Amino acid sequence: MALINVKTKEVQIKIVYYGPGRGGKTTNLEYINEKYRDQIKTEMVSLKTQDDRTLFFDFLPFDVGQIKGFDITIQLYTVPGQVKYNATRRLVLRGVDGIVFVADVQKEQRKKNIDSLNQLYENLETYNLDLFNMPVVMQYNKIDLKRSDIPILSSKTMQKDLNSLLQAPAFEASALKGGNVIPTLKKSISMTLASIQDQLF
Amino acid sequence: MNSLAELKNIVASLNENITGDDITTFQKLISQLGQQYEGNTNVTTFLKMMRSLSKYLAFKKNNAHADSIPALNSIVMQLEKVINDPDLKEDDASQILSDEIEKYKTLKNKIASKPSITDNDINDLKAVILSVDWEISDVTLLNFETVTTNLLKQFKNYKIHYTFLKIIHSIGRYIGRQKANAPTDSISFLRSVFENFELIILTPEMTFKEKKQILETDINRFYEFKQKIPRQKKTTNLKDDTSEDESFSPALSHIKKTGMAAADEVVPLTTLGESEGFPLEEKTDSDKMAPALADKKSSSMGPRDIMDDLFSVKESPADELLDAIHLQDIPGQSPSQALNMLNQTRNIPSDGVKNFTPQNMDNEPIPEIGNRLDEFFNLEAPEDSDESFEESLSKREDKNDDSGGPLPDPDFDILTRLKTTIKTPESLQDKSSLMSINQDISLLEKSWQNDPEKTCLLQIISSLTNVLKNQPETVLQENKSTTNEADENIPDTPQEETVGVLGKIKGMFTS
Amino acid sequence: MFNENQLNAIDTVINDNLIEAGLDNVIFMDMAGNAIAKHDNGKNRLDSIALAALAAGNFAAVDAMAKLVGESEFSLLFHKGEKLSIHFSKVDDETLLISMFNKEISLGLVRLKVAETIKQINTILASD
Repeated sequence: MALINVKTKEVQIKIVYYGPGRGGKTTNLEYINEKYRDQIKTEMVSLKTQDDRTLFFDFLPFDVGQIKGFDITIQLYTVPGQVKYNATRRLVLRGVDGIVFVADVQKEQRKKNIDSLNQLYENLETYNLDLFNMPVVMQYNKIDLKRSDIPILSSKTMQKDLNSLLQAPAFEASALKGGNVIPTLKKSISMTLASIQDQLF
Repeated sequence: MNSLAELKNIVASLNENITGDDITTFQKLISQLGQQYEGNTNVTTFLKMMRSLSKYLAFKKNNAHADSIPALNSIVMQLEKVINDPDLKEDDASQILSDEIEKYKTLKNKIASKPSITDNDINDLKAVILSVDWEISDVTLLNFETVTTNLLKQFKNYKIHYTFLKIIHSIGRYIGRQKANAPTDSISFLRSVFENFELIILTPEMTFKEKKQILETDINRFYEFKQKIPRQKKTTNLKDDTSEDESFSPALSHIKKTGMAAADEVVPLTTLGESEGFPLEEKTDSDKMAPALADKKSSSMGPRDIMDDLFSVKESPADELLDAIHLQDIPGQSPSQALNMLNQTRNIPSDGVKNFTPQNMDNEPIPEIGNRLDEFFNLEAPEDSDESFEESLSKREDKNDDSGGPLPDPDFDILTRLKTTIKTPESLQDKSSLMSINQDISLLEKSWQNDPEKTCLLQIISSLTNVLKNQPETVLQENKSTTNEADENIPDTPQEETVGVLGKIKGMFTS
Repeated sequence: MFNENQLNAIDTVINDNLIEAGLDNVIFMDMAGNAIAKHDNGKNRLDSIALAALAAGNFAAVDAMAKLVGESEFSLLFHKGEKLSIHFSKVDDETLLISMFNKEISLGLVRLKVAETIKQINTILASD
């Protein structure tokens, strides 16, 4: 839930990076954190397992400055992607305002992408949220693998699998190298703020 | 004789276990013997000691001093001797009595100087203090009261111990009364007094003087503590006046449920990479997989050709041109909606904190959002590929002027008209054109009067227009021919500058 | 949802009941991890944003555990540190009160004061 404090003139929105395990959600945030280290004054919090899988969530808050007199704080979260952490994923989704779905273009991950998105829909239902009514941005990550031997899915397939009904803005990306990470984020923030701007500005 | 035999039996039983019943019986028997030997001072004295001991045992029971039962045994034995031996001389009897009195006194001293407190007692007290430390509730306070009261009874005759316990008891009671309003150091004070008490118990070799010193410190602290007790009343500033509260609409009541996306709405896909095009579609991508969310939404939309409206982040000007062609096909948001958003003068709500779930998916973000994000994310070095994406995007938007642009607006129309007019070389010499230019400028100035940046730029345009207007015609024409060639060398020609300025205004307005 | 009057009243209640009593930090926050009101005794700096996010996650995780073991909720969520301890308390279904205190104050007292503060906050919230 977006929090607007008229007394302190602050707006806080929560954007969750969701997707199958090892898809690049944490990498997205790490890239953002690294790239904008100077502007992002707070530390990124990562609750990880010993083998670097997200255990609870990654959390990166930052202020983007003022829009129409309000201080806008963006809170980025990632969820743990592994199947066993669905309960935790549900917890992290609480109060979400915008979603970035990070899908893995590797062929072997095709079903996981679809399952993850379906589960996202269900998880949101527990909070009476409708995925179709939310600001969603799709990211098809690891596109850099097309230069390798690893078989990947085409963007057409990705769109068909994941976006044919949702019709969300989509970005090919390479989170490791930073390609389209920021445009994805900007789009998400923009859409999320737009979805509440009637109440704000 | 019977009474004595019974007495011995009872004492034997007391040796095993000291029970209340046994003590009662014991005391009865003592009374009986007392009546029986009323005139016999020796026996009476014996019985007195026994009576005292029995009272002590009645109170202490199994916690009695270790020497009490042996002493009792000895007394009973000697009493038996005195009673049963007919040949016992008076002097011998007196001697035996004196011995026993000595032993009795010794026992008494022992009891007096070393109050018998078991580990259980200490632990009980510690437990109730800790439980109050963790939770101040009726249960914990009751337990505390029970244990401390018990101990106070036990140590009634031992001043030092009694005083410690009294302090502990008082503090506990005070905390119980005050509950949440108790001073914050009350429990830590309680704990420290207990620790001192425990110390003097566990150090029997401590001298009386030392014990007294520790106690005096705690007494002084106790008095200080009492004096610190706050007397002021707590006042809370709860504002009861709700009449001033502005009414605000309940959460979510204003959020429209978004309908399904229109069938012809575009889903832009931003691609990434240097090479054009995409990897060849995998022939082995099977269609057997049901797309995600297939069962979640009954869609009346037909299958779409998703590749239709791709535009890509490319690096060559040719790509930008291609993209521009693509983008021309993209229908913008409904103009009236965009207009409403820009022109609405909704007041920022003066309420406190609001929470709500964003659900309005139809909104185009207001320009300020985009501007702020651009500023924030574009602070990095120019080699950031994101920036080039932004530049190309704004250039594409520039090129889209004539096709109507994403945000039609009366001001925008005026701006476009102004730009077109200024671009025309003869306009500055043509009176009607000049008038139109000046009119447009003043219209825009009026519209943007609250925006100092824009008004400033308009003034610059106006001044430049005047300067150029006053140039002699021939000179201007000559200059024109040379400026066309020298365009590359003289980056700041008025024409380019004007265009650049307009571009900047456009950028502020439309990004 | 709160209006400015309510926020001011809540600030006062927290300050008078808890900060004045010697607690180090108090955060009134929602279950999503957003801090609504932050108070401290001025003596130590705290990354309250991260703390609130983690606290929300912590509370939510513990709450989920409670449901898993058949409890509707746990009545005490308290982390004891060497110098500083943290106490969590639910204000209502959507908000939490996180209190941080040092060794000078006992948990029992903190719990009492927090309970009273929460009672007052709920009165404030209901008053509109």
